[in-house]
Amino acid sequence: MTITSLSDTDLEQMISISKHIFDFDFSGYAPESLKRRMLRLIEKWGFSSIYEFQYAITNGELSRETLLNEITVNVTDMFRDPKVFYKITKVVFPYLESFPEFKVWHAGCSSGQEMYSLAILLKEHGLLKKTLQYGTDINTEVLKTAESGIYSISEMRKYSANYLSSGGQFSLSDYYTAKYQLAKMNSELKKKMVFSSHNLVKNPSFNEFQLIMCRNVLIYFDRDLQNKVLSLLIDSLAPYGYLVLGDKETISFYKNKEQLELVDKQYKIYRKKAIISD
Amino acid sequence: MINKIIIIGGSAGSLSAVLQLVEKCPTDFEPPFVIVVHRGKNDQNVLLDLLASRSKRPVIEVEHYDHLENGNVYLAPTDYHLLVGTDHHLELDLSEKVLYSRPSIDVSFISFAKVFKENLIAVVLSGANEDGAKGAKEVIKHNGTVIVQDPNDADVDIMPLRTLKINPEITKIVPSNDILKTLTEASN
Repeated sequence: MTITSLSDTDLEQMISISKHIFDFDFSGYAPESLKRRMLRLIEKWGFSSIYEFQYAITNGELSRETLLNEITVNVTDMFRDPKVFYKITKVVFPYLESFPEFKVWHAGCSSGQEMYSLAILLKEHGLLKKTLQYGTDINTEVLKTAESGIYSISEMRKYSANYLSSGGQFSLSDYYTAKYQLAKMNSELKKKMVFSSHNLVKNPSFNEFQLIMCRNVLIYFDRDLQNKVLSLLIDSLAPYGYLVLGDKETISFYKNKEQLELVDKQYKIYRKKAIISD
Repeated sequence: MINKIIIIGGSAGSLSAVLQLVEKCPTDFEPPFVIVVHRGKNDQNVLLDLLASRSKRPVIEVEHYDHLENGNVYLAPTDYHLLVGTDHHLELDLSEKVLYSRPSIDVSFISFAKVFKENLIAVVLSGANEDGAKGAKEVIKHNGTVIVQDPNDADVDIMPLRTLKINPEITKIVPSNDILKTLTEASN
């Protein structure tokens, strides 16, 4: 009989096992969502107790990457929520344009579709050459996909409409080559992309960015951890730099929310105020 | 302090029942409403605007980690599952669809049943799939109350029928006109 529900104690045990064996700490993750994801993993693997989970991990049957994949992998599409992208071209691009070169950070970039989406729009606005895009994620498996820029062709067809709603001026198929069932993004798009593993919860800021995209990442965390990650993101923004969150994420309870100005309520586009005094 | 709470699940054909319920509900009605309905990805703010224009109580489309308060109407956003924690914070979850649905009515019913137990009243409205039926079972298991829209009154009867089929103990089967009355009685 597989476990069908997880108590708070069960969850604590699983967190502690992961922390000790994998040095990966899920404390501070939104507990109900984490329970749901853990339970899905348990169902998939048919564990009948937390001990079996521990056993599988200790014996190397369940790897760190597998666990991370199950718990943290995010849904991502090309031009997901096209109106957000459209808004970015209208609101953020004019600011980016004012720099000889600028940096964009996709914090929690998953398999990279959003980076290619933005690269396409940057290109169409004549900004791609000035751009350096950083894609980071805690999951090294998804980063490999991001770096390869290879997606399934059926996916790409689905994204054509999104591309157009984002304000795309040509055809999405101009930006990839199709081979068998795969679509490879044009190398021009990824020339100015850097990928690296980064844990928003543990690792420090590593650069200063004019734009940070971090959509649907905060929903993994409880309020304390959201606060911590928001601090990191804001510290990594250049003066007047923009932060884009997921449309159901909010900074309304953030301890230093006065550091940001809300530019677009519906699409959660924020702008860092120039000087922040502590 | 939340004493009673009402969660409403609906799919195809449930809009008029949801609007009626929200419209008729008086300002001083204390238990929060949590509305989990399937809607198109392109709905954007249509449902939210409709609810806000009809409701006498504040309507909030849930953002991650919002805290449940009495007197409010909460709407589950499109494309996220809605969960609740023991301290009554709301979580949005992007894991895969359940029965092709996100938000899934089952997922929310189960989560709310565990936290609110006998204080939860779940309402199953018109719909074209079986989402909600399993969740209703969990509500009953935790001693909560389930009200089902009368299949004869529902635009699409599959969801109410399926819920009644796997939960034969449900007795509160009412047309949409009487749902508010029934849940007011159940919450007293």
